[in-house]
Amino acid sequence: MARRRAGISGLQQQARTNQEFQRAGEALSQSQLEQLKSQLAIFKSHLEDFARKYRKDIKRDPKFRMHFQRMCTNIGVDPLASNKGFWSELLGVGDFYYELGVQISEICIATRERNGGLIDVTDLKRLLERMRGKDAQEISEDDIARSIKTLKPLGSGFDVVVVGNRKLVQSVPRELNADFSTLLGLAQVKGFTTARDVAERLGWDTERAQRVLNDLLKDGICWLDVQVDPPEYWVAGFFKS
Amino acid sequence: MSAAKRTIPPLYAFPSIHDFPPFYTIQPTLSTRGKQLQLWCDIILQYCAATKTPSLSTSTTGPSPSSPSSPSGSAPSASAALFTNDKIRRRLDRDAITTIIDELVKQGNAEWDHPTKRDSCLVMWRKPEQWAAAVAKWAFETGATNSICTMYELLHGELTEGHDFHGLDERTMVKALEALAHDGKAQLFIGATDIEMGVKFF
Repeated sequence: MARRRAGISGLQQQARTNQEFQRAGEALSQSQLEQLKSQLAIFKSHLEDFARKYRKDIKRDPKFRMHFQRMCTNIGVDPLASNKGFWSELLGVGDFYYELGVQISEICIATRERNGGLIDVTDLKRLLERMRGKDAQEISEDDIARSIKTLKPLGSGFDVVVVGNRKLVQSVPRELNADFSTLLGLAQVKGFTTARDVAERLGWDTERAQRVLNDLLKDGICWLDVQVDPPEYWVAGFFKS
Repeated sequence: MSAAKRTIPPLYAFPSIHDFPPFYTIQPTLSTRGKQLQLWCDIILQYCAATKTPSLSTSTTGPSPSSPSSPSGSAPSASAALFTNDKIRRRLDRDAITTIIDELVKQGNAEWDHPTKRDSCLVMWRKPEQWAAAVAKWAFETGATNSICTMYELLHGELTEGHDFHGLDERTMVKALEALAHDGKAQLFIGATDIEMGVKFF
């Protein structure tokens, strides 16, 4: 079931949906198609009843909220699609993610000079919880990811990046090229790496290793530690704040 | 049945960045360095305010150079506590400490004891103007205006007990009183020593 979207892409989507229905219609008999449409309409209205009934739980419980979101996605309803309308009014869900997005931006901007615009999701979550206080709605990593999805189209570079076992939130418009990602992958175990480490583990020549490390340094992602030999390049975003 | 051992909690808890090894290397990247210096300045001021430390040395080892603000030589231990971290085996070297204190001086929160031989400095976790305001407020509230107070009474007397500036180091208090005099809010009477200085609040 295709999702309805606004704008030109929405119209294109609508045209595609109609085409799909047409194609489906050619495969199914008319009555089967009618049945399918009405079944989906029933699902939608049940979902609305469910949302009405469990509104408090959706707001209060992050796990429940995530399951609910998944149900919506499966049926083709997007509670975040518009800030006005049934879903956001019923659940206040649009506001919740918008507010969270603002808080995420604030934290990323405040820590940008320290970590080059790369922050670990678990760190971000902890700082968010501290900012929101004890009595605020509980949030999950899933909430953070969804909130960032809504920030993405604003063009300020927000994105979730996976490096090894870690999930990072990037908040500057930066092409995390392959070399950067590879080095970050190396560094995410101990929180740092060295030119020697890079050369040995990846088989790069030391010139290339040093060049990429210098770039990471220049970008504010790494801090340099010269009190050891060889010097260590620490990723600030990996260090628990 | 033994009584629970009571440990005295430290007066100041360092933020996590204090355990970050590169924090002890002055960063080559300008924007990162700016942030690093700002963080160090914040930590120094918070530590000094919490422990009432009025002076710091650029050396983290050895005896304290005799300084007017620290005749008892307490300076090195504060510097050692701030600028070394045995847990991660890192320390700021003398040049780095000097760079950071230069930044504090620029901010108006520190003063070198000797501008050329930069071994030690006075730390003012609140600027003289802020102390001046606190003292002026106390004078007004206790009706001390138009009578003469000595420095000793201000810093160590019963009447100022419980106030923030009670026990403040003399050098900082002198600066605060000079600021008041400059604003026409007080008149100073120089005594043989700083502690004998008198002040009349208007």
